[in-house]
Amino acid sequence: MKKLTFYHQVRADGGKRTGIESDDETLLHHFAPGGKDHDPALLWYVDFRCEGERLPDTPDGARDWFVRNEGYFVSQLREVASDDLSVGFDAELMPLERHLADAPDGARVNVVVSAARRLPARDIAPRLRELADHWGELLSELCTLSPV
Amino acid sequence: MSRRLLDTSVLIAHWRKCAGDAPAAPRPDDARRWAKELIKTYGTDVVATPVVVEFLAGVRKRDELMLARAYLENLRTIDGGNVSAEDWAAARRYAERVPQDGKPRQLGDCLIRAIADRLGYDAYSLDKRFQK
Repeated sequence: MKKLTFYHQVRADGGKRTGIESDDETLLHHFAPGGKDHDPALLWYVDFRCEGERLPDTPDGARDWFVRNEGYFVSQLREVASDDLSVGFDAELMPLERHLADAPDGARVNVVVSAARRLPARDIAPRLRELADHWGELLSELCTLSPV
Repeated sequence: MSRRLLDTSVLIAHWRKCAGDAPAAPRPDDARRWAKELIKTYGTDVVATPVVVEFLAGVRKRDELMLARAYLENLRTIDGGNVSAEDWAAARRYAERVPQDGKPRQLGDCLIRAIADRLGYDAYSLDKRFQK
């Protein structure tokens, strides 16, 4: 069973990191730096964790898969924002995790959202909507990681 | 795994939850299973050396130490124990950021931030003081 994860995480300094991983290997990545007062402390993150036999495992294949299924992921982000996050959740107990039905290509998809204590979880809802609004743009910015 | 580094507060909160739900005398295999759950829950197995040390420093009993070591076995210490002069300099810069509430900064937090930043990770913490 292949695993494919899309993640997007936002830092206290405003930096935003987005990536796609396949079976724990980073396929694509983009980091948009925040303010000049560097601070890697995370405010919140969201993961789409996908499992399935027919998932791509190459950088271009993975990007294409998330682009092709934009409608599905965008609508799921909006749904989580309006249903699950409208009342907030206690990130200290556990991240919010939801199984998403009717995923493309027979995949099993879970969405996971978490927030650091400083950010009230209900404040994540508008940020998820913003992510949904810029889904395609974010995917187009992703690059392969250059070797260190 | 996402480029996310877990702070000590995340390990401690998860450990306490697992220990609270555990049978009377958990064994090292239980602790290893807890660590796998932690990794699955947070989508990362990455910690830094100061996290390992802080976590071990919180152990109160000898038998708990065995469990704590087993818990840490499956976590990846991303700096490999190599805390550089560059990390200390960055940690100092974090320490010198005096927050509006005037509360003191913690050595571990400053160092964890420095290591995370150098290696291109973001640090996830449940500790309010971690974010200034």
